[in-house]
Amino acid sequence: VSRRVGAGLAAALAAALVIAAPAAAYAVWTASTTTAVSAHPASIADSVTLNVTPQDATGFPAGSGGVLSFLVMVTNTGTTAPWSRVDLGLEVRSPDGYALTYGVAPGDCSTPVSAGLSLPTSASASSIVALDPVAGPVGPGGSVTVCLLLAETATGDAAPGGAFGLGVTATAAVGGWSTSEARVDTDLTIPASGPPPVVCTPQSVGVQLTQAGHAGSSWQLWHENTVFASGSGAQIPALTPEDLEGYPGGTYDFELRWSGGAVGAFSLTWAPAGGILGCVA
Amino acid sequence: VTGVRGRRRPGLWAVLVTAALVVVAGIATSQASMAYWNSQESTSGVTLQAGTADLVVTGVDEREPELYPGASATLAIAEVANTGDVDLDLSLTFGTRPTALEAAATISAWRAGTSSCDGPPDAPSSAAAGQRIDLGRLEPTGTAYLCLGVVLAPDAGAELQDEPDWFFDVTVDGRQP
Repeated sequence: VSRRVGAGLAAALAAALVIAAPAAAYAVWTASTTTAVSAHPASIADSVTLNVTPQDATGFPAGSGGVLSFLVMVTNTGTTAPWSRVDLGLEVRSPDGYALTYGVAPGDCSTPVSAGLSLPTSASASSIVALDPVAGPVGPGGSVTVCLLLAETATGDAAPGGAFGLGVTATAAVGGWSTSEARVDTDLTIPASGPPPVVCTPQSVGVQLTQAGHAGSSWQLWHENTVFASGSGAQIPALTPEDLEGYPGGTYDFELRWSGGAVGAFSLTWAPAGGILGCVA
Repeated sequence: VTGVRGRRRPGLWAVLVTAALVVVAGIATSQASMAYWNSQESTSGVTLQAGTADLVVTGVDEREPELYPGASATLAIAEVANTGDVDLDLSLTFGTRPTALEAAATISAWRAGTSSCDGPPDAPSSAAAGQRIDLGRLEPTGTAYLCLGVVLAPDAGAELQDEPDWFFDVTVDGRQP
């Protein structure tokens, strides 16, 4: 019996080999063709346009806690790629020892900024700082706006006529690709070309002089070559008859000198008895 | 009679075998000397020819898109024809030895009835460099439009901008089922 089984197995194996051999040799026909297909990198260079527009150029420095705002608009002038992010940088060139605080508010500066706003970060002279990125996407032709805020520090002592420089940079990114940088420089001059505002109140006992200076500025009231009075701060105390004691009645010219060289002029006329007859600012 | 009764008659099998032997012997001995009728017919020019498996790209409409990180665009529309004799299962690959551009890209492909590639499927098959996209079977003499889309990875490196050769090596394969 075992011999018969062995013979059967051998026959089955032979049959399997006969079936398998053609399958192993069977060739599958293939055909292929290769083509090079072109693409191009998007042109994203020179696609950043930056505009910085002062919103309240007359108010700097605006006295204690005064805040300046600038509308910063970054426009994608490219034609293809949407920006995924815009990085803003700020450089402040200020007189030595003077510092500013700055911050960025979203939107178009239409929301009034109250004096005394506490801005988070300070920038000392000639420092370059990175502002928070503005998130995209900003499509071709689109733009983003932020409101850049500047304020004096509490210890700031900007002299009238002093010059500030403000440099804003914008760099857009498309994923890991950066577009070229745009920069706008703005010069800020503390108002000093004209005399400080002087308000006279004739026919009263005293004279109230006010000006739009800022905290920390010192002033001197000159008459001819003599310092008539001096002090500091935004408000000049009222002149009183006692202040005029020793001066005979008549018209006298005064100069109001502020630290930094700004000069305001006015004249007072008073009677010999001390009553003030007139004031011309 | 008695003697005859004792012998057995030859069996039927013996008779048949003897007759067969006689016939065979007769045929064998007659080969040498016997003439036979002969008719011969021949044909010429019958050639057995192997079929072919052949795939031809008959036209490529390159869209030459401008790509940037995260961009998706139509790369090209190709028309392929099965000019062979067997069905072919089509597939597409690109970037078998990927360039930096190909390594940062994904290509999608689908078949369309017209060269406009209108109405792409919601989720066309896509593959990274070196991977295969199956595109179905194409019968002999059949043609098909292959629509190719490309997506550049959002984190594609900035160095790609300086790469001089911005192209994809696309291979269409046909394989006998």
